Amino acid sequence: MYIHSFGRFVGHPVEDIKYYKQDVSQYTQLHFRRANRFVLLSLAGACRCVHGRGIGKDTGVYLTTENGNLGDTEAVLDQIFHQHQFPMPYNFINTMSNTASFYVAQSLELFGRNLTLSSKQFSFERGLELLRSDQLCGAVKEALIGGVDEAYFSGQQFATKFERNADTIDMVEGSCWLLIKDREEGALGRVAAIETFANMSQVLSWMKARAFQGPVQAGFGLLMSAPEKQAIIVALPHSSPFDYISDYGYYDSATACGVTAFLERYQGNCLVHVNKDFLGQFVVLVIEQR
Amino acid sequence: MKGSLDDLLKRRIKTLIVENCDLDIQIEDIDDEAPLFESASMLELDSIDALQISIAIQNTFGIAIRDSKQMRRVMKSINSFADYIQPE
Amino acid sequence: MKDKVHIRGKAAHCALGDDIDAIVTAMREQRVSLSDMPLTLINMDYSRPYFRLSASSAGASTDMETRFYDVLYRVIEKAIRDAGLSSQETERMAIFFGSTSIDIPIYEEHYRNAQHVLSQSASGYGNIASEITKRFHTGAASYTFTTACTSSANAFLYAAAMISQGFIERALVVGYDLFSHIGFCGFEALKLITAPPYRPFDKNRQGIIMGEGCGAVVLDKAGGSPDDFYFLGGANACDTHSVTTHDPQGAAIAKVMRAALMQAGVDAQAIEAVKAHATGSYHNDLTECNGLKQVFGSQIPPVTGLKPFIGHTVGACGVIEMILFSEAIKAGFIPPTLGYEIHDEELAVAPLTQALAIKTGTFLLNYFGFGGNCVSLVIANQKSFGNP
Repeated sequence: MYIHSFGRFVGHPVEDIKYYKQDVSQYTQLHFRRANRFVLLSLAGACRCVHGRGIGKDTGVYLTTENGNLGDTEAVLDQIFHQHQFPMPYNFINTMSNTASFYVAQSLELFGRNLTLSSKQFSFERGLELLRSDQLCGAVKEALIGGVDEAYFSGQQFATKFERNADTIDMVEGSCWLLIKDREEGALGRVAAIETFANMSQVLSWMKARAFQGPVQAGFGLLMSAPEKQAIIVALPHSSPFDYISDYGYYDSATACGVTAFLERYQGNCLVHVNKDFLGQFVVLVIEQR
Repeated sequence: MKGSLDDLLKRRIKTLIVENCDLDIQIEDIDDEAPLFESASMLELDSIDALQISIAIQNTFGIAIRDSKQMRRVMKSINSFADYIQPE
Repeated sequence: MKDKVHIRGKAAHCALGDDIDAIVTAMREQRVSLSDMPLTLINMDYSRPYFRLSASSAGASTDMETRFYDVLYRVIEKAIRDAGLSSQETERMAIFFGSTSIDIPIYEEHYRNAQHVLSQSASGYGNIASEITKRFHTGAASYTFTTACTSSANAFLYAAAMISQGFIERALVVGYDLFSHIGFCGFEALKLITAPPYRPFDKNRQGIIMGEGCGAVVLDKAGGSPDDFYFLGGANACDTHSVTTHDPQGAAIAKVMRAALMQAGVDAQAIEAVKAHATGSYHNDLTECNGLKQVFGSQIPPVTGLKPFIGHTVGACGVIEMILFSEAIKAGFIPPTLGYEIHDEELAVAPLTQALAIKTGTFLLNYFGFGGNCVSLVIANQKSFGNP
């Protein structure tokens, strides 16, 4: 899986949806009358990723997200349960989370595979696994894969979920995408490994047995504890921590943000990203850059 | 009064369409007789918009449009729409 | 050569029952049970038909959350038992979950008395798959597919591909959608729901009748019994025509069917029968028939739709209809498309009006959904030689 381009749209949410429509209209001519925040956010990142390059019509779209769209789902629940009215069709259609991956395909005219996938903290990594499978069986040569999530509605919501103070974390919305091809020529780098482990000692012994190319940046998911991070830094020779969450803020599919930030900042390096979920499982993602 | 003769009602319908379909158009520019949904229509509305409008009409006027054939008939133009909501 | 992936175990709970034999018998006897759902919650004075889950000890609870997990866990337990998995085998089983509503039916109950529940407490689309992982002590990955009505068909496609490539040993594929007011009122708002009779492909078809259900299959390199079905190939693609409907010419749908056949390594002529998506909406059936004509020409194999038995179970239909279709074939027949009476010249495709006697072969299954999503799967089974 060779990475040919990346696009990042990360920031604090802007209340007026027109801001996003204007942003997206720089890249695509389609009308987005019915698009909601999640759709526009998805487009803002995906369009940046492919801007100025020709991509094949059979390019696949893999949208990974932990929460998808919440706003329209809540609007429809309110229409039904509190206003006791029919849901408005625009809102109802947008409750289906794959409308965002559809609009990405429609606006870029892509007729290849189209998926919306979720896997808690590992959504982006699991999406890459599906893309790898599609590349192997020849179903996909080129693909756009993104990690898209809205910002947390409140610090309270964040604090309840992660059992930690929200003040220390900048909560942002994000849409970060990679253009991945099966061709090495012209690539920025490659996805060198995606591995799942049941515990830390498995992670560490896997790392010790593997050689990493060039200086290593060690990136971490939000649930990684300080001692776990330390153990990984120690296990990886010539590594330094890459704290992209401090630099860019947190949203639920932030792994994608970490990868794009690494690609922008660390040519010739290797990213070893270790993520953890609430069940205590670990996923290691290795990206090598030229 | 027949709906197509009621300017106030027609204004309400136009406002409802513009607001619910998030159209970037002045209501004065919508012709009472012009087709709403054909490709020649300046509004460029499609079947999803028709559904959106039909639910908005139901919520505002309490008038149901039950099937899509009836919907197409009713929503030919602003005048036909107004006559359906207010037959006399 | 890539490894064969078998449907080693299966279970389902739908309007026809929660026991595979009972479901197959009901299909053979063409017994359906349709409920009437009032729209009083949104102040409407009429009702619409709906295929509720059959009465069962699972799902008897009045507490929505308890009922939700009861139905789900019962079906999964039965599928694991049917596959005869040891606890070590279960441990290394990845979860592939497909649904449109995920846990919305649970949230809806809270909205009767509260607001903003979702924005304060939503735990992500991946939550149910994660709960399954915990409950059944599986140590492998979980994947949640939310591609509208193709959700669990995509879950099946990827589970099978990743097993045949050797990334995982086995997988549990679950399709689950319980009744949700969002889905029911939403489909009614889109004027997609018909009054009975439900008659896909009929000239007078008027739309869809929805249903709820849960289906689970265990996919494994190792087969259970000799007549188990196995996966041959499949494909997914996007039709960018419109967010709610496919291009009525059927080009995208034809492309997906062809890609699935190619992936499976079989010619169109090798297909014994097609399980159509056949929702009964004017557009879907027209699009699907146009696609079928492009792929099969004048030699269209027998076609049937299963939704008149159980309703359109939306995201769950991928797995549930696969179980119904393959188990009926194992029992010696493909059921007809109930409700179909009057030929539609515009479609020019007539589905089965009587059960077709058949026990083995290679079959194509179609699934389409909102967001332009199209999935086709090819499955097959072989004669069990000891059995003339």
